Amino acid sequence: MTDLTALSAAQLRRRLAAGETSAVEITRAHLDAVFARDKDLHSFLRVNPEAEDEAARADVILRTGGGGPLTGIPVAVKDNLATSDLETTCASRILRGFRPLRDATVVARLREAGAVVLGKTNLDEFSMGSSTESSSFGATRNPWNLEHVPGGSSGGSAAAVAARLAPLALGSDTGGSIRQPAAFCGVVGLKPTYGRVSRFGLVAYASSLDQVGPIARSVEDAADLLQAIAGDDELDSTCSDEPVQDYSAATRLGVEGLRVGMPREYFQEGLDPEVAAAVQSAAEELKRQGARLEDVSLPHTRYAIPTYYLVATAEASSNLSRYDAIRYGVRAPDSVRLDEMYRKSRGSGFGDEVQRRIMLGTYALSAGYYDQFYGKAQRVRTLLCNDFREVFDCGIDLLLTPPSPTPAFRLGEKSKDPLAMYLMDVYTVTANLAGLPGLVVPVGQTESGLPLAAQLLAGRFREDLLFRAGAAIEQAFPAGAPE
Amino acid sequence: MTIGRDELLRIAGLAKLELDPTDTSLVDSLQSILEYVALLDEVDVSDVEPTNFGAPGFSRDREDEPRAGLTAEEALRNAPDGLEGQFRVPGVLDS
Repeated sequence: MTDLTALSAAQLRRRLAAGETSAVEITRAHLDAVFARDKDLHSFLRVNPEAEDEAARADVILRTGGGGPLTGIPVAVKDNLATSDLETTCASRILRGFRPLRDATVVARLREAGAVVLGKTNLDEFSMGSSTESSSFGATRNPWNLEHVPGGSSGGSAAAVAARLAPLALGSDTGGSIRQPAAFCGVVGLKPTYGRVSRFGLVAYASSLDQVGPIARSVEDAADLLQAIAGDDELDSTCSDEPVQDYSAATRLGVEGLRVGMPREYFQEGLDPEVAAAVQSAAEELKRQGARLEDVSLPHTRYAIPTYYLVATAEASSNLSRYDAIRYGVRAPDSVRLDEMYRKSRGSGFGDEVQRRIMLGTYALSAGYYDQFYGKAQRVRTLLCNDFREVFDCGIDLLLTPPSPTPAFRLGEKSKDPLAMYLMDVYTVTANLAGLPGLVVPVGQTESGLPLAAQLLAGRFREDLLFRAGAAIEQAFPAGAPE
Repeated sequence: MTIGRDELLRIAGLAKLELDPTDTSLVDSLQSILEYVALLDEVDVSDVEPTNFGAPGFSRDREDEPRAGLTAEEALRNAPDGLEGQFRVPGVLDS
């Protein structure tokens, strides 16, 4: 009998349509895989106890000839997305036991499409990290090598998809949190354009940067998942009413005639030679299929990390002020005064990295330092946006870059040195600062068997171009599977 | 730029965080991060406007129409302490 967990969402859909399997069988196969294999990985924080019932409802729709591309397909959901009545913790002690009253819009759209919410995946606490080691509930491991990190912050979602525990997952990306773990785990990950996907019910980290996006094992599956969640939402005032393209069709258009820029600042000191070679292989494949490669420059790239960490932490310090242990959250016991209760609850409820970022952001916003830090970063952000605009205005369709300076690093290697961890985000934060979409696709493995990948960036709302080029690279480098 | 202990406590007060007084790792890491972000000092931004949002132009407000919100029972469902349909908190004023 076929192992249903080895199939992509598109393959599962064809079997469902042919009546060769059922949504309940598919969901059971993935739940069994989670129970059997996730003890070592820790990619899930909890499974959805209603998953089989949701699958049974999908089967009813399918039997009557209804449904769409995702009907009956299991999806793992990052635990910073609200799921009605299913605990949502952001991997933080302060939110232990929190049960949202409503679904996030992306989760509601998945349910409307008949997808099955399989469970909630691990993350760096409040998405603050690049390795999933800052989860308050224990680190996730990389399914390709358990001694290595899966990346972060959507490390649970990427590891679950890579390990065949779910065909699809939702992640969120504030500075690379979908793309870098997708690269580390050898799967496909997309950060959509700022405003493309609703953020209602996404627990806010840095509101001018956050986006929700898909993680999958094929470009086609990622396109289908984006199709289901993209589009305007009256519950999110920053969500765009720009028409949603046909992403699935885009994956079949090819790259003939596209101009692909390779920004020279992304290929300098500190880039691992195997990562550089992988991106070069992807470039050659695009060229072989008819794209034109060009050398381009994004001159302010070296300022992206300091800009990002000032903007993101300033917004985080403001967003996380809502955790007051009054309306929700775990309250520290035995406080006599209100202010004492705030300090004790937040001091014991937040982990070290979250406290560090709140402190840094509070400092950058405080009287006397605002202009020097936050105000300055906002202005440099404008220069970073201008770099991209000039390149795209010159007729470049896409940029091809590394997703991360190295393949997946070892557990513990960077967790004691926050700055070293921050520098890992150098190639991903720029898309968030400029509001651009970015796609990561696998490009083979290192000699030691860790995944390699390439990143594609495009202009605003040009996810179609990303899917065209991603599908082209995928032809030569289909996603592999960890043993 | 050096963050001293008094400065650290001032920020922690603003952020409402109780810090472990024996732990020096936080101040050390903040210090190294602030030294790194000083890289921005070399950029001239005198004629540059700030970017505040992830994208321009489409942060929209809906019509100001009354709609049903959460009931008191729903609003209290995740509260650590509630009484008679209200949130209960430790004392605010000295008695």
